[in-house]
Order: sequence, then C-alpha cells, then structure tokens
Amino acid sequence: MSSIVFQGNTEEQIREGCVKGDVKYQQMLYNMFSSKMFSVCLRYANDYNSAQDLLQEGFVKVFRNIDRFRGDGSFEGWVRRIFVNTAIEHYRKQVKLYAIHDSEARGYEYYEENALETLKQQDILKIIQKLSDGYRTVFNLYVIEGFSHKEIGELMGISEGTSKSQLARARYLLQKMITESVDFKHQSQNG
Amino acid sequence: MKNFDRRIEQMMNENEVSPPFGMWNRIAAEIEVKATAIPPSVNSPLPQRRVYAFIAGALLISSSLLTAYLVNNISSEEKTATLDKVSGVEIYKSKPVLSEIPTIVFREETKNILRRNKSKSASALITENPIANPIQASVSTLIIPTHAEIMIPNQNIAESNNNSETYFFPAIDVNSSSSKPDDKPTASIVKSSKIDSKTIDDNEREISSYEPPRIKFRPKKHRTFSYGKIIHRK
Repeated sequence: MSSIVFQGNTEEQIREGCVKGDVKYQQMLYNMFSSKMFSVCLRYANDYNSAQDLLQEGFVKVFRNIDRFRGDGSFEGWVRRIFVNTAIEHYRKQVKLYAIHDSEARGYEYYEENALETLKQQDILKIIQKLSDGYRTVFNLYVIEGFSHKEIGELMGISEGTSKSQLARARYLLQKMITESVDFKHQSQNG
Repeated sequence: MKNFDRRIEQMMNENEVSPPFGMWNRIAAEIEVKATAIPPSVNSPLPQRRVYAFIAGALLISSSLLTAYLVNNISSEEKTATLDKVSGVEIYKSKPVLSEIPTIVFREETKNILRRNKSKSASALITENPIANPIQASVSTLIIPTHAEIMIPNQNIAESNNNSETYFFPAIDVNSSSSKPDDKPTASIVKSSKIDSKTIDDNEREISSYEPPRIKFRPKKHRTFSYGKIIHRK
C-alpha cells in the first residue's frame, strides 16, 4: 500500500500529528484535501458562501474525529464521507421531498449527448447549483457518490421510490438546462 | 442516461476548486475555541473521576456513621427484649426491670395468702417485703397468669437446715407457660397450688384490681354526731 507524501510527510505522519492536536499537521491536512473537498461542498451547496460554511464545518469534524479512523479504507474516502454527511445533515432538515409522477420524471426529449462536451466543468457546476436542494442532493449522492436509492432513502429519511423520482426529475432539469445553455452559447457565438 | 451520468461524474471528480484565502484561519480559530472550551481531562491535576469518587466515598462513610449512631441509640433505648438461646430454643427474655416483677408479685401473693390463712408457718418470713413501686405491682398484675403454678421458695426451711445447696429462684417466663425451665429448684419449695383454690381466688381478685384503695365517704343516714356510748366507771 503506497503512502501519499505531502510536503515531506507521509499521510500517517500527518494523521498522527492531527491526533495529537498539532496545528502544523492540521494545516498540512487542510492543504492536502481542501480543493477536493471544496468542490464537493460546491456541488451540494446552492451558492459559494454556503459551500464555505460546509467546508469549515467538515474540517472541524475531521479534526475532532480523526482518532476514530481505523485505517480500513482510504483516508481520503473517509474524509470525503464526512463532508458528504455534513452536507446531507445541513440540507436534510430544510428539504421536504415528495414523490413525483412518472410523466414529470421522464428525460428531456431534446437533450443532445454531445452538449456536455461543449461546456466546462465550472459551467456544469453552476447548473447543478441551480437545482433545488432536494434534487441536487439526490443527484449528487446517486450519480457522483455512487449510493443506491435504498442508501439515499436511509440517509435522507425518504422512501426508495421518492429517491428514484427525485433523481429522474433532477436529471430531466439538468439536461434541459444544459441544452438551453448550449443553445444560448451557440446563439451568442453566431450572433 | 448512463452516459450522461458517467460524464457528469467524471467531470465533477476531476474538478478541484481552491477555497478562498483565509479559510484556514477560520477553521483554525474554530478548532482553538473548541479546544479551550473542552479542557482535556487527562492533563488536569485532579481528574473528574477522582472528584466524583471522593464525594461518593465521603457520602458513603457519613451515611454509615449515621446509621451506626442511630442503630446504637435505638438498641440502647428500645431494647425491650434480648434474644437468648436455651438448648436450641429461642426464648425472648424480658428486660431486667420486668424480670423483677414476678418475684415481687408472688411475694405479694404469698403475703396475702398467708394473711388470709393466718398461718404462722415459716414461710411468713419472706412475706414482709413491701412493694416499693406501685407501678411495678400494677404491671405485674397484668402479666401474671392466674392459672400458673407459682413456685414459692421456703426460705425458712432452707435457712434452718443450713442447706449447702444454692438458693434458687426459678426463672419465670412471664410471656409463655411453655418455656418454663425443666430443672426443678434444689431448695425446698412450697407450691402455691397446695393452697386452697378459694384463697387464691380471693387473692387474685384483690391483686388483679390493684389500685390504691378507694374509700368512699358516704354520709351517714343520721347526721347527728355522737361520741359513742360513754361507759361510766363506777
């Protein structure tokens, strides 16, 4: 098992330093994962400021519970899971999700598969942020984090069917927004 | 749909956004605040567990001392009976004060009996024993069974014979007649059962209603006072 070396310290050394409460190692850990975790926070948050709050809350949880890491999986995966759980906790109380009829949950009819290629990552991220909290959370958990509908239902306190319908609706809205964005881009380039 | 999801996942995982400058200071400040708010118990000079243990120990000791004090006081004041074991049978002995009562009672009985019989036998020697405390007498009248055989020691005979055997007042259990001691006294004893039942009945009647004698002053029928009959000597 290869160990990640960051600024001359291995991951284990940084972890041990954080367990002891050494600020130097805590800052190293922050520098190691802050960009990746801030991207995760931006996906779950609806704006930039909320993403900052999630990042702060997530790192505080990591430093407080770092002694509980048993080394079963990767340390990055453990840290990522803490951030995802923090985001879910943050939005679970606010979001009330209801099942949607199948007619509303169909895919967008005019979606072009190549439309994604024309957009940058930042544009996709902004489109995802435009989704409502419930759609965005279910979409992130299913598509990016890889949770099943059953797991999502347990995490968010909803039924499996609600999770499926929310995902379909989120997908429909994303495709629609991406298509509109691509069309707008083409029109602005041509015009 | 699968291609759409896969492409979104790939783009999002590749995406890394640096947090704004000063974010670490915010996090470090919050960690410091939480660290000062919850002091580590390991480094403290007197851990909380020891404090709790000390308090619990003090409470335990004080409660045990209090219990012991109360138990001792109660036992010294309210010990009406002590448990004694005689040949495996549990008998409740009465208090020393109460144990004297039977002795007084049967002497009183004897006194009355002897008075009524007007016998000048040797047993009259022990009859002159006035009751010191009327309360004792009144208590004794309540506890003596009327049907019990009362053993009366014949002190005169014992003294006159110069008997070397020890004088024995038999222990009388006032609570139950079944717990009478089996051993008979060595000295010669006159049983009160020999006395005729009429005398005992009279005696019992007198004792059972023991109270200071009430004298009713009834007015005479004729109110004229007389000095009696004057006998003039010739």
